[in-house]
Amino acid sequence: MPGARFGALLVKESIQIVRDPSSILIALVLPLILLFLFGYGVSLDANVVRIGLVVEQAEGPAEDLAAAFQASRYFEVEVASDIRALEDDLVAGIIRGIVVIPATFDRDFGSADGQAAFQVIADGSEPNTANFVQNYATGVWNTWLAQQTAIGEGQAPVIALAPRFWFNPELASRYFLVPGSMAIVMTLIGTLLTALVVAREWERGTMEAMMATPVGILELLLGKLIPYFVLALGSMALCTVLAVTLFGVPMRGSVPALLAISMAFLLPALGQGLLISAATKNQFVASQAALLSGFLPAFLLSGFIFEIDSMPTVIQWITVIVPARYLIASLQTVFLAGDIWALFLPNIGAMLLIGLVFFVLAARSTKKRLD
Amino acid sequence: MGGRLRALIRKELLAALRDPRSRMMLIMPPLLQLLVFSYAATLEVTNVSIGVLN
Repeated sequence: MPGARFGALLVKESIQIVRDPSSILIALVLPLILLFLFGYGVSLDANVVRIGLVVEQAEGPAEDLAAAFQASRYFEVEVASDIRALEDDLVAGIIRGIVVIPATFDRDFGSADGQAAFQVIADGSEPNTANFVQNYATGVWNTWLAQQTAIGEGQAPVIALAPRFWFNPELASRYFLVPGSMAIVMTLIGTLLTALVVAREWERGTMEAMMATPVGILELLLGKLIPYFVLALGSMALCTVLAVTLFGVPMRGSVPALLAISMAFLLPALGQGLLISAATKNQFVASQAALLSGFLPAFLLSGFIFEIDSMPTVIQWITVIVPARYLIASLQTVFLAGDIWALFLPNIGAMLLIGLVFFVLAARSTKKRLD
Repeated sequence: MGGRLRALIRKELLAALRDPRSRMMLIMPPLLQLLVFSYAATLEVTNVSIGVLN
């Protein structure tokens, strides 16, 4: 009876998973490590930036502006009266920028056409920090200008820009890093673990033993995949619980939506793992291929850390076939924005399509022959 | 010891480069990774799609 046979295969695979230490390692320990790494370790957040401040003539508005910089909670300021004293520090990386308020500032600020200028020098060897220096300096300047206008000293700006940050008002980077690392975890379990395990069976010859039985190809493949499917969903559940309770990531969507997205992603992930193991039949090569074609694209090309829109067009076309791209977009939406089915359905469709292609290729590579 | 070591190194290199599959594994992935990922990994934000409400 095919039903009983299939059930027996499932039980066998599940027992094998529980017995295998590498499965437990990759399915339980690795997700925890990754989650903690991206939740606490990696931070793309705004932080306190060390800068130098050169005030060439400390009186009047110049002194006021200097005090505003020193009082800002984004800057840790080192004051000097000459820029040459700070240049060495900038080159050494001790400070990340220099703000120079020239001696002509007082005179220009009070004059009729009101064109006072001060200089912000940022260390461009770290572009991210340089951007922060520029933006914070602009922020301090705008705040100070608004204060001056309030006490009647300055001119009100013609257009007032009031930025609002939807979905993530505190701009906490872990709110998108933690859902993203869940995608990495699922890729690791779905692609790497499956590829390793099936390739191991090919290497050890137990696959040949299975082929000597009346078991069909479909039963064989499904019997391998379903336990790993369940394992990956279990890992995903663990990561979600940790994300919400420990890291405080808001969960504004519904759990069924999250489940639907994850299940749709596991299809291409598992299919890819199966295809790699069927094509290579060798544990080492399978792990290399899984890391190169599964993990690295999921990490670098999926929009997890690096924006897809900012990549060159050719690379953007390549990301279309990376299933993790659709998962990251959907995960970040389901956690931070809510249930937006107009976004989920096309992404789920794309993932299912890619999964179908992988499965067809894998089934064709796994012939019940030994050559 | 030096001569033996050199002979072993030579043998390993020949063995690795003889097999077409390991030749490919040594040359293709680094090239691919260099080209694709160094273009992809950018912290700049450009081409942002925005909506304007008038």
